Amino acid sequence: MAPFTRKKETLFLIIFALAIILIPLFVKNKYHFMVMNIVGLNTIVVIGLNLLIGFTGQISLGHAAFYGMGAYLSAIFTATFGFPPWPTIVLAMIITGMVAYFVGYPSLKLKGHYLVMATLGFSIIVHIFMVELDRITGGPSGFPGIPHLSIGAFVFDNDFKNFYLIWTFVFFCILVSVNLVNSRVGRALKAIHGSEVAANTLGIDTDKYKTKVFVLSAVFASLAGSLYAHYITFISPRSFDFYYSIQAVTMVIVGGMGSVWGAFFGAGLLTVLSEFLHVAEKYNIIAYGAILTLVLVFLPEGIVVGFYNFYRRRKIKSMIEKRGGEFRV
Amino acid sequence: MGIYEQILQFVLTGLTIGAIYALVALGFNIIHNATGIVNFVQCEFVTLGGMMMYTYYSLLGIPLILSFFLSMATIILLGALIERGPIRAARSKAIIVLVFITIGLSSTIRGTALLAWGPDNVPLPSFSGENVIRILGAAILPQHLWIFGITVGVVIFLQYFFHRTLIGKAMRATAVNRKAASLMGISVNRMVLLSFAMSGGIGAVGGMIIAPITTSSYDTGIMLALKGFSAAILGGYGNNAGAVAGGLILGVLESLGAGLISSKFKNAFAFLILLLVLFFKPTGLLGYGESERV
Amino acid sequence: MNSEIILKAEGIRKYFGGVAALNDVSFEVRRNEITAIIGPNGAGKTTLINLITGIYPPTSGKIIFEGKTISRLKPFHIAYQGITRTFQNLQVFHNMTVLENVMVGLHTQTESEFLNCLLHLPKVKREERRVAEEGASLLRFFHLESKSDWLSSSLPYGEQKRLEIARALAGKPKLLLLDEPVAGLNIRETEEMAELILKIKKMGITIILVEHDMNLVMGISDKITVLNYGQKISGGTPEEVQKDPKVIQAYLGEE
Repeated sequence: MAPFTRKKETLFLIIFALAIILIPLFVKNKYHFMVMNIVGLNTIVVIGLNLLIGFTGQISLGHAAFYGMGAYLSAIFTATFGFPPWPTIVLAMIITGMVAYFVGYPSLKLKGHYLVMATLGFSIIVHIFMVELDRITGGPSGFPGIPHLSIGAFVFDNDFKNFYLIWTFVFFCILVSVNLVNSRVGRALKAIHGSEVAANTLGIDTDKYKTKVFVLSAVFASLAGSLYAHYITFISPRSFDFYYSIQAVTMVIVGGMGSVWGAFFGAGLLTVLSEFLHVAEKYNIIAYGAILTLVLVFLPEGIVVGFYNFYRRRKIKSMIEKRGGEFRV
Repeated sequence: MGIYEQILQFVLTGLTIGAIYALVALGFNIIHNATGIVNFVQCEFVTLGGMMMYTYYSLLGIPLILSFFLSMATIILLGALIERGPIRAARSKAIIVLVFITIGLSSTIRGTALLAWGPDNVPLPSFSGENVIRILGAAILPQHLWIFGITVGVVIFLQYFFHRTLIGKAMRATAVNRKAASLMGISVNRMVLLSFAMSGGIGAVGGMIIAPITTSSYDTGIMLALKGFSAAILGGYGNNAGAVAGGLILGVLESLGAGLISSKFKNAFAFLILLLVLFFKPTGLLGYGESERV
Repeated sequence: MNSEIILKAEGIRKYFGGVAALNDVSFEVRRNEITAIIGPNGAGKTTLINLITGIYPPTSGKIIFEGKTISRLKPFHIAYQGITRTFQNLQVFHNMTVLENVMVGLHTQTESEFLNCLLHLPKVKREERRVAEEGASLLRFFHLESKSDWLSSSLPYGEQKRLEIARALAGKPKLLLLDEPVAGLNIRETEEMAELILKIKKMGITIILVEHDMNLVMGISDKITVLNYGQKISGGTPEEVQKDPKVIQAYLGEE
């Protein structure tokens, strides 16, 4: 089965790459580019988060903080201290990863869902720091004047150029995630979700794997945050509050826990929906909450995976019926 | 005011807010023990306690004491509805799915509260006047006494309920071992329903008694509930004595930290303590409560 | 014939909140034998299995495997020592296909870590191919190959039980612990399982078997340890144990 999956995933990746290259030829509206870029950034966060939630079965409500750390570290180091942007993105990823390790390791060692509260508490602390350390972060009014990214003399200074930049990163994030989930490590993560005790008795160091995938997901979020900062050139604490974490989690659930492509779909659908709701921002909280609840109650596999499983069951059913067998669910 | 009076003042106000944390922590424990999930709607139980009280008393003019019990009943009903509705209807009973459902419900309710009452803080009158009471140079309000009194009352009631009544003992048995409990003829479903109703009621009480001091708004519950959760961990998750101890200690530490170090980072203290506890003493001060063995 | 001792438990005690689940239990398992652990419900059989596989540490006492003390090791370390197990209440990974389940079983036989897997290096490719092949051949051995793409949750109960054994076997254990392998199976399936267990023994694997089905236990075990209320009350060959008055009393109850 593995080689077959591999082929199918490769095909998807090629189609996806072609779409990234071709789509800008048909889009002329600047606003549409902006929405697509935000979709891309959210996709990076959500793919990482899905590795943690969907594949490994651990909950984090703190990814807004890691997203924000990427953004603020990039902003502060480049705009305030004049560091070169590209190495700073890597530096931010390393720092965020280390911080994630210290938040994640102690809570992931424990049985039960301590991670969700530890991450939530952590993200509130980070948010308070963003607001209160105003001499460094600009406080509640935000941090302006972050430089655009550039390669040589080529500056990524508009929505169109940033589209290619951001979606190239999305592509590579999806690529490495697909690699990961179809590997020894990916299977170990799914096994932890299936039964942590059984996974452990098969030789999987469950604490280590949970911590590592948590750190990886934080690093993804940090990367997205850095790209966001250099793209918009202005950041403020509002973009990285508790609601962003809820949004990211909802995207994971809607796309489907345990599906890399589902993450992309979830991020796309809900980002566009958010843009529609932008006119009435106060409905945003209700909308996300209601979507999250409804999908979980009625379609816990998520929309993409739910329909895919439905299709697969139908296919198996027809296969069995063709052979004259009986199908039980 | 000298430094000692100041410290006494911080300790007293800390104990007051700590009592609220303790109530919230108890609410978390009760549902955790019955279902194994972290119930995020606890935040909204606290919020709605205050907001319903405001609605009944300030908007509809219902007498204070009646408003108190009406609000409590409303939130108890809400807790029961949540269990009877989404939690029971969920097609997957995986813990992770149930936790997420409570997160979703929490957002939905918060958003609805924002639409219903708007974003502003609303005041609630104290239960019995604003005359400052002086204790050894520190000043407290009558409301502080109400908070202590009612919290102690709730704790005594829970103690009696869980250790002296049949149904309370049945709930504890369910927490220790669901399967064995159901084999003994205990309806686990009913215990879960009861646990949601009870933590609804306790959360609402917490929200109502603190509102006259801090005012109330559509999202006051989040902070209070999250700190209540930190208190639960500090005391030992699932352990009711631990919840009370954890709440009071957290309240005092936070108040001292804000008063003596920096009030800017007041809200960060509680979570810093949470992270430190998880790091160094994850079983909490008094150890885990009753939970199933593997 | 007396073969060498592969696993030895010395004075094992396990308390759960003051209640003794196991009290001073000692026993030995010889290489390439089937050792059954029997006893009435609540005797502490599964607790013993959980202690040997490191699910929790003993309150006191020692477990020695191939001359090495393993009683303080974590489960995954113990798997690497060469001990794997199945579970009384099935712990098949329902979120994975049948083949993937067995591939997880090969975890100790492979070594690609995060970075290599993210980049899908050639080494990973080779390892993947090997794992898929070995998994497929194990599934053939267990007559599950036609369903290798099924989600494991859609398998019938009896096949899930077999899958769990296949998964445990994938780790190439020296000692395999089977916790009630025939519970819930019908007579035909039980006979097949007995044959399967004997086949596994022939592969040179030592087996500890916890089981209630006395026909099975008496039929295939080389040695039996009898537990009652957390204490070992008898041990020896099936014939010896069947004659032991203490065992008869434990099973029939006192007059």
